[in-house]
Amino acid sequence: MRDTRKTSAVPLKILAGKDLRKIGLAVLVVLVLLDLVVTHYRHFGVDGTFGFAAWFGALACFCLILLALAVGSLLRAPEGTYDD
Amino acid sequence: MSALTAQLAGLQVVVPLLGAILSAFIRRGTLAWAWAALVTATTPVIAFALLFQVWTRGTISYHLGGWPPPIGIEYRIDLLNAFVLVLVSLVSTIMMPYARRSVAYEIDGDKQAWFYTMYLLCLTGLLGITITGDAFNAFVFLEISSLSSYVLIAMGRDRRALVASYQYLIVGTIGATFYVIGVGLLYLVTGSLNFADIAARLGEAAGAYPRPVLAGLAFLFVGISLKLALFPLHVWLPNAYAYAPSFATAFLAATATKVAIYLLLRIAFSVYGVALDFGSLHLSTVLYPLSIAAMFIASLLAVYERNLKRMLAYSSVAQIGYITLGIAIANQAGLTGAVVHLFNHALIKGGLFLALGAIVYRTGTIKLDDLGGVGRTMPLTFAAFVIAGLSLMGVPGTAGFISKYYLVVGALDAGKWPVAFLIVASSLIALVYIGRAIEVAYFRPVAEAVAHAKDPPLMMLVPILILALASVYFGIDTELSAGVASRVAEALIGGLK
Amino acid sequence: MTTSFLLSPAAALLAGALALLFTRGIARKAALLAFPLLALVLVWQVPSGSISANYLGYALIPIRADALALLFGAVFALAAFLGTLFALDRSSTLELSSALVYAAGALGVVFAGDWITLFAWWEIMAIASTLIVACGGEKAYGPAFRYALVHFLGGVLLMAGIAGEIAMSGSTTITSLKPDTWARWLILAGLLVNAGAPPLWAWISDAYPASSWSGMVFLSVFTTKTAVYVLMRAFPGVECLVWVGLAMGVYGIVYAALENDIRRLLAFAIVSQVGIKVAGVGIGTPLALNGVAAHSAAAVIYTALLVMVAGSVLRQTGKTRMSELGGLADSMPLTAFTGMIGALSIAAFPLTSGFVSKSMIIEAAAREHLAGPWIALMVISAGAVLHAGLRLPWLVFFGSPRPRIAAADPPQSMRIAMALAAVLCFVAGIVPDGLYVMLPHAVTYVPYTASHVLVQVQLLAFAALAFYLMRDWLKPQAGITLDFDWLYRRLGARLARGFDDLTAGAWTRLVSGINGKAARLHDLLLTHHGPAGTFGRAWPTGTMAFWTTFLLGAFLLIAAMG
Repeated sequence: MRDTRKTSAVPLKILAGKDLRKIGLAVLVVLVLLDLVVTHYRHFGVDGTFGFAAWFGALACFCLILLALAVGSLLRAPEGTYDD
Repeated sequence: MSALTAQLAGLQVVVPLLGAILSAFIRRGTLAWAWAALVTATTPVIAFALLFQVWTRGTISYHLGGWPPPIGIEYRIDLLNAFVLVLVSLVSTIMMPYARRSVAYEIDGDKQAWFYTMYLLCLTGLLGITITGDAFNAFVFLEISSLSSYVLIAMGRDRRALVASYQYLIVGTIGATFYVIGVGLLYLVTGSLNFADIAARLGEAAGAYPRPVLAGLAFLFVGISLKLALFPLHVWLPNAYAYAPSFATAFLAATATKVAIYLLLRIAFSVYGVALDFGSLHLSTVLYPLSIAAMFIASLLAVYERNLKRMLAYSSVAQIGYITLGIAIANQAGLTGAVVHLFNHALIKGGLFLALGAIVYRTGTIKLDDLGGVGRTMPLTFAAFVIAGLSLMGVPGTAGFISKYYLVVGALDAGKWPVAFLIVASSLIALVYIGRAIEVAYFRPVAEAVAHAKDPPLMMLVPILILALASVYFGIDTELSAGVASRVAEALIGGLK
Repeated sequence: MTTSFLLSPAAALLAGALALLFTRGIARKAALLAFPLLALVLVWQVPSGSISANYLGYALIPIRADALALLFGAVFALAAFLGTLFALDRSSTLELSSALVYAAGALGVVFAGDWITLFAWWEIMAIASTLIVACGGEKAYGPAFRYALVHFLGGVLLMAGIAGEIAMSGSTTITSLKPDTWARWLILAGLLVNAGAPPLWAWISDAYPASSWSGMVFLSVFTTKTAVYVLMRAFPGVECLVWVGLAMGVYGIVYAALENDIRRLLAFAIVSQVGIKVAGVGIGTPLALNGVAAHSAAAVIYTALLVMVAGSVLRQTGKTRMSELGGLADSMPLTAFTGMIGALSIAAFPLTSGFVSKSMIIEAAAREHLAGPWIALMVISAGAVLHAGLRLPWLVFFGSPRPRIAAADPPQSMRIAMALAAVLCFVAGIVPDGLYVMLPHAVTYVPYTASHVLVQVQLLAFAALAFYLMRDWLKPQAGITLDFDWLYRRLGARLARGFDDLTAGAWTRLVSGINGKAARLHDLLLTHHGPAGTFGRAWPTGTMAFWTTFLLGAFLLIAAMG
């Protein structure tokens, strides 16, 4: 039993290496380059620019993480806070 | 058969009275219980028959001993007292199966037969007050019911029951005295003791003797208010209810105060209201502040109470406040609310006190702090408590909601929207005290006293469940409760000058 | 009319709840599955149009069916089925009966045509769901009690609002309203409490994780979605909902990003997802409302799936803290796989149900040229990678395995439930027209354009990149994040205690003061009442007598003056 489980995890183990980062990077580059062939409908002006969703996604996530860290530094409390 | 039908009104009182006398000769508790149950069971049959007669053929006038009024005593049954008769007799009958085990548990073997004798006497008194059309006869029955209820309360296991009973005795006697003074004043100015007869002569008498007529009302009002535990004359009630035997508490809470309220309605509307302008009586002026004070102060006292029986007793004072508020509003919807709450509250409080009695029966305690987890060890009993409790708060879909609905509508109709708001706001306090009981029963670890408790035997459980379910049923099907109450209110309002 | 009630989906579920009380073994399992399926069938049997009844002189419409009701009804019945399938091995009859009653309440709300009927079902849901929370064990009693209090408060707001609305408009029918009277604001507030809106949103993350591994599936489905449903019915296009929804969306992400407990993380994710829908209701155009309906349907399934996955992890490992989990893909492959599908759906990856539904709401914001809301919705979309979209599966199923956790996939029924939900996520994502035909308004929206797909993939991929680069900052750490519930769990308790001490003293002084005055007064009035007995014993009776006299005097005075 234990052995079969280990083999089932092998593909994941391979991906966990440096290859994954390279593949990931390649995918990201391709995704941005696809904007050269796909035209976007502009509602606001900014949303049709080259690679908009890419930088927006990264920036949005970055800001959210910063916000989370700020909230966390203010409001994090130990687990037993409410136990009297 | 027709001869029997004609005597129904008399039998309504005579049957339990004779039953009580015969019961005094029985020694064994179980036998006395069986006898009392049998006698009690006949009363709703008679009461329903009377209600049916009144519903179809109008007011019944029954001359006791064949003497015509105003010389003789008249039993006069209209929709209002037929409704109260049904309520009192029906609730007592539903509770009777419960009595045997609970009474056997709480009262010594040799005293049980006496307990049932006193219970039947009290029932006689209550039915008598309700059925009679004679002011002095009502006093006699008032004394019968009061004296027997002092004994019922004094039979509680706790030694403090004696003090509570004594207190009630003193206060009750003051109340009865005031009542009889009021009746005396009325007799002086009208020369009659018959309610209908007094009503007919009162208008004229009030012209000649305005002060004594109003003084009479004041004495009657205060005397009856003591019996119905109107705030601030309620102080006797929490102790009496808390230390009386469980069954007696449930019985008295469901019936005794309701009958006193009936008497107030009768005197305010059928006697004084018929003869004089209702506004000039200033009943509303007095009842508004006292009712609202009861709704809030008594409810808050209930919140701070750790003894569940006392908590419910304070809640009763608050609920009586709602009923008297409906009387104070004194319009169609308001009176409907008062009368229907009379009915609904009897079911709800009856159910709640029976559930507490079952908890005492299984755990021996009634202290909130000792009852952690009781909802899990006595699931059906406490489920019934919760259902009746929700009804008490007035959760929509329950009987309590119907009452409060009519009261709110009545207040709005009368243009008193702050009163409507206060009705709703005070209901939230009930949420707190019932919610606290629920919290302890379900969300606290199981306490020592309740660890081995379980639901009571079926004989006790079924009445609890019937009353709990009734307090939901009458929230959905309102024909018997609100339907009749609305006709009663119509008749009372219609009779006003 | 009676047959319509008896054959309503809600009645079928109530019958199921009753059946569970009297069945055991195979029969119980059969009932557990059969009644939700029966309800699902009955959803299509509900006669279109409305059925009316009478209560206290009010016209009730216990059953009203239209496209929107059918969609929600079908999805709720389906979710109830998935939930009972997943819970087939759960032994607590109370929890499962309550779950069916709870589902019945939700279906009752969906088909309710008037406010009174709606309120009745609403409260049934509140009670049943409280019981489900409480079935999570001793630790759940506190959360269950707070849950009950919050919902009771919501119920009171709603009831007061409904009463006012009926008094003012004279109509009980649920129609689209503008919040221009206090009564309507109260209704809106009552609905928003159930939706998890600020400031009371903490009830979701407080109560849901306290429930059992099976209970949370039901909880995650019904309460918030029925609230969204009623908001769609009653308050479409109310602008403040946009901002409330966006606040929920951001709050959910931020708190989920900090959370360590997987089930609490999912609770925050639920708030975030519901926020998107509430914002959609606020936008209120046909496209937005279609989007809300579709997204609700999709979210019911993928949220249930994710909660089932978390429930499986809890049941199989006994752990829910991500700091104690990791590498479970090895030992629980099916759970991990379906969990990934749920993650893709909640992140709205193309080919999943989340993509075809959420994009409608965002598109609606764009078409209305609501720049602020549009940006916020895009941010919330990208932020999905911070909760269930990436962070959760990453840390639970992949990531560094902790000291080896002995675990396996859960029993068959649970696996089937998860697989079925996963398949549904894909089916709706690949064949969106199946979902679109059930929407309340005609659909012209085309989800699968090159632009839509590319934008969404770019958004998620680069959000994932940002998360990957900063993953060390968001390592799961033991602890909780304080929320508004601090006000009533901590501050409130402290204030109450302080107030208690304060008032107890004042009260005692007041009572003894009044007693003293009353005693002196009554001694004055009733001089024959000697000082026999202690003050404590003489007091009650004496005071009673005093009050009696006082009342008599007051009455006489009023009567004489009047």
